[in-house]
Amino acid sequence: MIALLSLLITGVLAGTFGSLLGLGGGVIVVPVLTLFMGVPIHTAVGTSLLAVIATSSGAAVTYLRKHIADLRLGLTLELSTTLGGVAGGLASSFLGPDILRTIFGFFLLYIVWSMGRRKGQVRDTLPGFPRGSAARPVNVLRVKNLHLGLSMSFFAGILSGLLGVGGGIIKIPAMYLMMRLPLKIATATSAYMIGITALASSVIYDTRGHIDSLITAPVVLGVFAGSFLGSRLAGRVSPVHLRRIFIIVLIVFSIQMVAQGLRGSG
Amino acid sequence: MTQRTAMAPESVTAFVLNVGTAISVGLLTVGIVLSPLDFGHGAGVPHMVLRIGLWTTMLVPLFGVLASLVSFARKRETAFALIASGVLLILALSVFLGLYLPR
Repeated sequence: MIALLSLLITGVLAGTFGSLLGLGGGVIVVPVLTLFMGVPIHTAVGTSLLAVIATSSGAAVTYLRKHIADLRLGLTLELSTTLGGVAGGLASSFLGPDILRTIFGFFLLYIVWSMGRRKGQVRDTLPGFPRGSAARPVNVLRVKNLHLGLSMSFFAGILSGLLGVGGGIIKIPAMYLMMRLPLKIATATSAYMIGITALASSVIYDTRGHIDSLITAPVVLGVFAGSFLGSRLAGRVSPVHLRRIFIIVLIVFSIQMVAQGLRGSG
Repeated sequence: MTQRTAMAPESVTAFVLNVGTAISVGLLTVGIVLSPLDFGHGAGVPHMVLRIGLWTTMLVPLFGVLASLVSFARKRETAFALIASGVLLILALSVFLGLYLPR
């Protein structure tokens, strides 16, 4: 019963933080399950992938209805992202837990660095269009640097399949900086995409027995609840303070993950 | 005779995702509420409900893509219908590889 509650709370925390900070819950689920609950990392990654699907399905409904997520662009990029997800899912079965833990630790450090440097003005409308026009569908064929976006999406897919994260940390900058899309569209489209990518690799994890229902179900249910809670809390919590706390937590997680991986704790 | 216009692919996809999410939450909640009855055994009805709930959660995005495909086809947006088919093919490939590739 205590285990069940701990898993539910982990899911709620991951869903709430993920929703408030625009991240998939994977960066919380995987470290908490492996470091504090002794769950094998492959099972933790499998669980996290399901959590990512839950986050995405919930968020995508709102974003698609409001026409903020670009369905056509998302599906186009998914052609390469799902391929990456399959490749990452397959690669993970050939990597030992220590290597996976070390890679995850370094990935967390990258997120810390990436969150720390996110400052300044953001572009919230399409270039050449007035404010408010961001909701119009993007013409996929006229999007800048589509080939770069597809390449980066493939890389994001590999990370997602390998580490059980959404991959938005790669996709959003790729869409925003390389494809020159408004941040709002990039974030919403990424939220829609991460569920499809996670599906591609979660099937592989499940067929290999890395998804344990008694661990995954409470976490996923917690994530559903946490995402709802996060959307209610948005605007009431200072994002600056929240980001600072989150960065500290991630630094601790990353050091522990890398240390465990290098120590070879099995 | 009035001609019915096809719904926007975004609305159809959102509807499918919403229904799928609601079913997932329902199944997982029932499974978790019942799970103390066979916690540790992992073979009874609660465990089966949890498995079905997790598979429903997993397949929600797949049904979303399928809904987009049908919707694009109805709207005669051939290019995007083909792209959605491509994504579905890759997802099918992942099942095949997961099942048949050496572990």
